[in-house]
Amino acid sequence: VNKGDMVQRLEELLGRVRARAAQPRARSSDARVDGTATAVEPETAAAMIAAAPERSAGAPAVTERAAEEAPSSDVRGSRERLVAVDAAGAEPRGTEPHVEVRESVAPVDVAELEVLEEQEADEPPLSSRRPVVPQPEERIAQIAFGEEEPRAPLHTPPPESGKLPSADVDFDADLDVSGVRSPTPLLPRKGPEPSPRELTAEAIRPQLVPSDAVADVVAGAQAFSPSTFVALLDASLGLCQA
Amino acid sequence: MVASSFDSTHAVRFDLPRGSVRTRADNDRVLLVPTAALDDLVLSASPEAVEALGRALGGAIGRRAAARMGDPQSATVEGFVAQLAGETAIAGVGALTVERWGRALVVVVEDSPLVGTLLVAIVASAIESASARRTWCTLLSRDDRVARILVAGEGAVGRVREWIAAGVGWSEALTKLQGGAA
Repeated sequence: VNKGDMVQRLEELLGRVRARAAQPRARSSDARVDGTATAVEPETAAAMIAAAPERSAGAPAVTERAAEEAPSSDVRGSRERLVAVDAAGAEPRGTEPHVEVRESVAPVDVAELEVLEEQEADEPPLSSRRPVVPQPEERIAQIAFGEEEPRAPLHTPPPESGKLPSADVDFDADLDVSGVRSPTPLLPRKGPEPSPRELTAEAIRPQLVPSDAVADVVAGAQAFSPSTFVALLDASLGLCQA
Repeated sequence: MVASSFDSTHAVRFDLPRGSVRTRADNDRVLLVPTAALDDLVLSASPEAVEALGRALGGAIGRRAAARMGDPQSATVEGFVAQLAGETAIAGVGALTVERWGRALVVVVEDSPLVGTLLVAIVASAIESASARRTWCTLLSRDDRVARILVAGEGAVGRVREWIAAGVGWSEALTKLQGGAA
């Protein structure tokens, strides 16, 4: 059903509603007798009848009969009579005042109907694809913590240094299935590099030729030569004397 | 003329019937004392007592050497040292020689059984008694075999003691002492 057909149907429905609303109120009273009026209690009906002269002075017969028959326990019978009175009184009388007729259905605005139709048409069916919108709580968590998981704190202790113990792997691997192969032989490792040898000085010795003419003595090495022990003792005793 | 050699003939006379030991030069009675007894005495006595003991021993050695020389003032270095070393050896103090470091006189005593403090006092007193000069001595070095003793004036000895206490080597101290004298 497209939108045009829907609008046309609604306009037809509106026309029927207006037509029925334009009909006299007695017709609607007949429908009430068949449906909604069955739930009216006798006391309510009596109250309505008592209030009737205030609203309309043109229904005194109905009011009087309803007041007379209200105490009766046979509600169905009184309704049948009411229907008969209404049917008889449905014809307008010249002397009776005009009875105000109210429409049972509120007037419907066509523009509102069209807008509602468009809103309903915009909603996709349940089986159709629709964007996945995160739930509000998820959205708040996403805004607060971001899309990714919170990172681990940076102040975690560093891993311990040193060699880590190897995992105890002791299984018999099927070479054809697991793909485990024995390592290929590597080149022989080189031994530790030899420590640097201790450095030794390489002596460079000049070739010196001995000669007798090296010494040229100008004077005696020691001018002090005491002749006696007492002279030597006096010289030693005289050291550092002011 | 002082002989440059030491005559040790009958330097000590043992009178066994009387039980005495005497030196020939001055006929003094001496006593053979074990060195261990002297060491104990030096260790237990005060410095002044050790100084007095050393000067007494050295004075006797110096007087005997001077008696041998006759005129110590005119004795040559070799003659003086020969007589002094002879008497020191007879006393059992050790082998005495002399070194001359510039103007400084250094006495070297080898194989001495005595401790340094006592030996310094003996040498100082022996030279003082033999030469008739007031002398002061200080120990320059001492090991198991050799002891070197400076013979000088009071001021020089005091300076050398301070230098050696400050870590200055004894030979360097003698060199500095020569510069101070100049």
